[in-house]
Amino acid sequence: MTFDEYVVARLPALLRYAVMLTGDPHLAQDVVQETMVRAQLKWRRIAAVGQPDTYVRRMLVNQFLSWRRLGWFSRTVLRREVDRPEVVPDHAHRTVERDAVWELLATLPRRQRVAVVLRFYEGLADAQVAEAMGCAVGTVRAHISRALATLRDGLGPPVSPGPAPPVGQELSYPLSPATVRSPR
Amino acid sequence: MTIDDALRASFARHESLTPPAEPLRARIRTAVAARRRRRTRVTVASVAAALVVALAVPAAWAGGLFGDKDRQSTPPAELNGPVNVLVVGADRHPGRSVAFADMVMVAHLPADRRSAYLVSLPRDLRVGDDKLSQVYADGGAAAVTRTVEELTEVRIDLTVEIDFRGLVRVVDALGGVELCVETPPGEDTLTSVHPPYRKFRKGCQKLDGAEALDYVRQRMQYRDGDYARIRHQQQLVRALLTAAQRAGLTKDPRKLVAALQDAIQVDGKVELLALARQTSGLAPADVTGVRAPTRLVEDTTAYLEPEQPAYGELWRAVRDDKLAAWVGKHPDWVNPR
Repeated sequence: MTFDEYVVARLPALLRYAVMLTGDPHLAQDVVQETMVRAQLKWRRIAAVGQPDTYVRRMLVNQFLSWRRLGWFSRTVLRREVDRPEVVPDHAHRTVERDAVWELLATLPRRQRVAVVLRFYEGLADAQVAEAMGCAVGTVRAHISRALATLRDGLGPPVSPGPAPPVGQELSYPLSPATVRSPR
Repeated sequence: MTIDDALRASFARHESLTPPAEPLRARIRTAVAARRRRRTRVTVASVAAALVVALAVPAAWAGGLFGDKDRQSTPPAELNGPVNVLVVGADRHPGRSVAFADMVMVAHLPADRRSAYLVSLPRDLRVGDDKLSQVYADGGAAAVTRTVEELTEVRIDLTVEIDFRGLVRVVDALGGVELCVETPPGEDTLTSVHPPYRKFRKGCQKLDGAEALDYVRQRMQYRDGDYARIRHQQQLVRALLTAAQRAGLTKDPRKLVAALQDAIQVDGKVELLALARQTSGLAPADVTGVRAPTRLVEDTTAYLEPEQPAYGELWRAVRDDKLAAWVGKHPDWVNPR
């Protein structure tokens, strides 16, 4: 598979994956671009390994984890902008903003977020997540369980699989600013 | 609804945030092209390290590289006849954008594997309207491979591309190399033209990676310029070979193998490790350095042209695997050790 073929086939999926990792479309573009430029320069080696996806996914994780412009500070700023009422162009965006899970994801330490995305978005098994993150399976499990605990905490009382939530709202967890800032 | 499902649902909803791929593809293309240009600066010296891979990595290390002892007991892949390895050095020096020299060398391994020849092609060799250095700048190692095959009619079995900084690490992983520094006529020190402007004293000494690379990059100070550089570079290959064989007994090979893996890119049908096994017995004295016979032509720019008939005979000898006879006949084009 040549690099160009790979890009045509996989770039959309990589971008989606990067959006989940970063929580920000612009940053996702930057991270994917940097990753793909690097991948291109060593493509022969990557192609020789035979599983470019695995390799590139790992590169992307590393790129994200080492991305300097993504500190706590910049993330806070990003979130504030999103919170401004004037940024409500269409329905899709409104849903996105109101999403409490998404908001909480942004508060997770980066490694926890990576683990959660690989597991629940990319649908990888723990061992594959560990491979992509370059750490032990136990570490992955710890990241995921801590992340889930934070999410559960932030979302308040667990929504049990009991009564079905009202239609149309089942996926939405409205989150007031107070909830975000309240110390636990 | 469980937290897992809530997560999956949230991810699914946010897929709508994904930006379109097409503009990014264009950006990637542009960025790759820019970075390619940046890495076109090439140092003669870099060439040397790749040869260590081909010539000096003892088979035992190669086995260790894959962590399986069984591999060693299975006979190596069939690999007969003479082998030509094209070695292209590339300097991906950070912060420098100038496209500089590149250097090309054909390592010829005769069918009997009892010796090795390094045939250097000068960077200023004329190729059509360009110099050989330009071919690399424009098209990378693949273009150099095609060009060399056309120019020499020699079949290239393997192309090894190595980067400058990688070579520094290789030398350091070997614990340095012993090099005999040649100074300009009438002087007893050589001052590098590159920062930090190291001073090298004349004579044999141990150099670390950065020093060795600095030394073999110098050419302005010598009367025969690029030829001097080629000579030093081939000396470095032998020094690396010596160091590799010495290190094989005492050092942790994993560090070296890791450095080598980082430093080189290989392209070709021949398996480098199989080749390394066959050539692991070579001593530094078995390696002969040759300059492709050329002469200077001062036109609007200075370039080098093949010096006939020696040049044609050289490549015929490579094709026919009779380099030993050619070397005997043309001592002037053989570099001193």
